Amino acid sequence: MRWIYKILSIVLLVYAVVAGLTIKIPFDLPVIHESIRNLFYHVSMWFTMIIIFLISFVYSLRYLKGFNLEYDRIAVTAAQVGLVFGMLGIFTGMLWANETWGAPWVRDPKLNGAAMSLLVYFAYLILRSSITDEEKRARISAVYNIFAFILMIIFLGILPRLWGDSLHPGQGGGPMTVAKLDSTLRIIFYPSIIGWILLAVWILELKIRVKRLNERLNSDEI
Amino acid sequence: MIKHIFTLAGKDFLLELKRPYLLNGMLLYVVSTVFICYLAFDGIIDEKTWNVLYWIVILFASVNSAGRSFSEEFSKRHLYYYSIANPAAIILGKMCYNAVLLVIVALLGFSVFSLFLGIPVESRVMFMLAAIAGNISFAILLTMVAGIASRAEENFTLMAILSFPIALPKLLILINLTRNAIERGIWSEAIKPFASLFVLQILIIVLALLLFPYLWKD
Repeated sequence: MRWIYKILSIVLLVYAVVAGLTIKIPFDLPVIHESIRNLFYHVSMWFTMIIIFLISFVYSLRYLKGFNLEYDRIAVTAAQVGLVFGMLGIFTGMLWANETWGAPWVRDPKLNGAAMSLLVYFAYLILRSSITDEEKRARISAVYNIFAFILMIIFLGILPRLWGDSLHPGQGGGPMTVAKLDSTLRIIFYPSIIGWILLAVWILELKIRVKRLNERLNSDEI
Repeated sequence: MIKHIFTLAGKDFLLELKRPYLLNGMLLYVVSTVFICYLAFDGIIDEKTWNVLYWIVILFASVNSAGRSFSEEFSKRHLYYYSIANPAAIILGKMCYNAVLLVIVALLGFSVFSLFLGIPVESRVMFMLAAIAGNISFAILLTMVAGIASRAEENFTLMAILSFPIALPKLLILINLTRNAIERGIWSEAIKPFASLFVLQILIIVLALLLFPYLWKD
């Protein structure tokens, strides 16, 4: 039965790409215009990243509870997959920002928050690579993962208050406030989020299986 | 427990006094960094730059000095501490010690800054309070990160990359707070940032107490 979610992921993503690019946008927003279609891809990347990092966090917690190295493997793989989606989120966002705000990077709480969380997870991977002992690496990096994830979530909540409103649509009276409620966008947006998340879980599962096989190969050689 | 914390912190001070070159080195680090800024900026420094520069110098000095708070002890000696005190007392002791150390750094930084670059500050009391509160909060955060970094090799680079992203939001709160102190000195606007710093502190201490025991066992 495990293949069901893979099929679902493919179906949802094909739907999101085809419908997202071909649907007639029922309104013409200032500044954004047709680029509103990026909503289906760019925003879904962030939802996916957060979910995948959450998986990484949960498995780090579980590792510290039972010291099962399998959980550590899931935690690190999730961090890697989350980083890929985070980078995709940044790149799709830069394309969009270049069109609408006139520059790929602007001073905005969401952008800076996103960049910060990517830095945290890159640091996590570097921390891992600098410890050689397997058990110790798993334990120390789990501690950092939990510590950093909780602080990151709280900081992401504080940041907008520090810098005032975001330039992002739907906040501070941007042109998206009308569109946010529009149902034509929603019927593509929500399936798209689910599709990307399922795809990420699929990638995660594959990567973990590859790692497991590699490990078995290595131990056979010895 | 409280007695343990103070004994452990006192032990750190004694160790520090036995090797004065470490403390002196750190103080000289602050002085020479500020001196470099003074020469490099060559009089073009305005209030905003002054403020940001202060915090950047302090952040680097703090990371440097807090970064070594565990490095010498994860040898055989830590096993001994572990057997006589519980991990919570050890991390809290280190935090107290680092807090005092970094407050010294903050005060020294402020006086050297005012010597070379002047004091463009409206409310000095608020600025000092913010500097002290900020450095105590850096001490708490950096002690925990130092505990993590010290378990890996090459822990100086690691200390910086692990702590910068999570120290950044705190740094921004502090920069905003001292900008108020420099430009306007309005106390009613300062209550919220102080409160949020305080809440963050409590949270970080709780997390550190929960997680630190896992860093010890080998």
